[in-house]
Amino acid sequence: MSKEAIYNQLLVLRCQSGQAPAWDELVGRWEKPLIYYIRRMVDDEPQAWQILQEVWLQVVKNIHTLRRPEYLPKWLYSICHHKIVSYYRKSHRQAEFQTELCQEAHRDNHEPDVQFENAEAVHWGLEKLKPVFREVLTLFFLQDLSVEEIAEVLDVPAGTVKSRLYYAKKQLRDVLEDHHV
Amino acid sequence: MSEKQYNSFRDNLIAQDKTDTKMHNNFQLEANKMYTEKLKMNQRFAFVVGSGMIAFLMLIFWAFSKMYEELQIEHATAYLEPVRLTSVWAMLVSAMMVILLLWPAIRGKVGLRFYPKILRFVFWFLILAIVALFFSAFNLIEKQTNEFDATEISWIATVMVLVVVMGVYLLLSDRSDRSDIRNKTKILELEHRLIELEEKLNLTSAKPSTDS
Repeated sequence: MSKEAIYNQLLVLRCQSGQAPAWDELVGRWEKPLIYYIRRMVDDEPQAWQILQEVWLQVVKNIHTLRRPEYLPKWLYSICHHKIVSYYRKSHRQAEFQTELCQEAHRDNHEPDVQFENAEAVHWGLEKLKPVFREVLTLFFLQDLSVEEIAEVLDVPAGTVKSRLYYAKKQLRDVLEDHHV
Repeated sequence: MSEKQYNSFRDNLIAQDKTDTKMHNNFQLEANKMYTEKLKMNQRFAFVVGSGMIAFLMLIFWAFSKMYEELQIEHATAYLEPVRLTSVWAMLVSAMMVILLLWPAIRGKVGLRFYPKILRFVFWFLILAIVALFFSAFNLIEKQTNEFDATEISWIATVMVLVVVMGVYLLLSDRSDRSDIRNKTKILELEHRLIELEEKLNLTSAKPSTDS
């Protein structure tokens, strides 16, 4: 287990025992990756911050139910994912997710040999992808979750995540090549 | 890509996201108030209704504490005192409950850390008081009618024992959860410290020696 992972678990336990400074630290550590993920999925910035606030409110209310502190990243991204889905539902944009799910169900799932090292280009390219690919790739690049954990967050089989990752990377590479980035 | 390279890629990627400073500051301000939840009008109304219902119960308990004073029975103290005492007990606990429910409705916000625990605790005491009141009231009724109904008594006693056992179980499980958290925290603190020491050792051994 890495030092970071241990420290995250410690923060969870300290929060569970009601230590206020641990809360501030937990919010501080996770604020940036979470808002990055939410912002990739929600284009309206005030709405994205609103969602993040709702996520933290849910975390405060339910942290005592997190029996395995090592599941913190998965738990946090799961809450974000559910809030995002409910935002899409409220704004009647659920179809954007569903159409994609039907289309990519039959594809194969071999890992493409693509390396992305330019963070600026990747960030720019992510915006050009369809939401369903953008989501899986964002979670992948944020590197807090394994493929299996991403599958649990998105509530799909691991094979589907691999398949989506394959096509998402391919699309991203195409987008970057098309724009000579 | 190595893990270190990947971490820096991740950090660079996150750094690309330029957020509005004003909104970020606003989020941080709100995050500081995260322990409290603002109540909507319907939630405030629900708290008021809840406290109204408990206040009504409180009135009933008050009536109980006065009602039996009028009864003329033998050994009055032995039979009336338990009823009076449990009524007063239930009345006081309901008064606490009324205040606890009214307070968030008046303030328009509710604390998320301690409030639910306090409410649960007081509520459990209220249930216990009600069961105790029933127990003592049945005892008195039997004295008046001169009929001893063992089934009723055993039912009440069973319910009472169950309520007490439930409360003790809740208290014990809370204690055991806390000690579990403390143990896990200590183990993780040790692991974290060990990794830090290992890093320091690696750094020291990597430095070139200055001794000639």
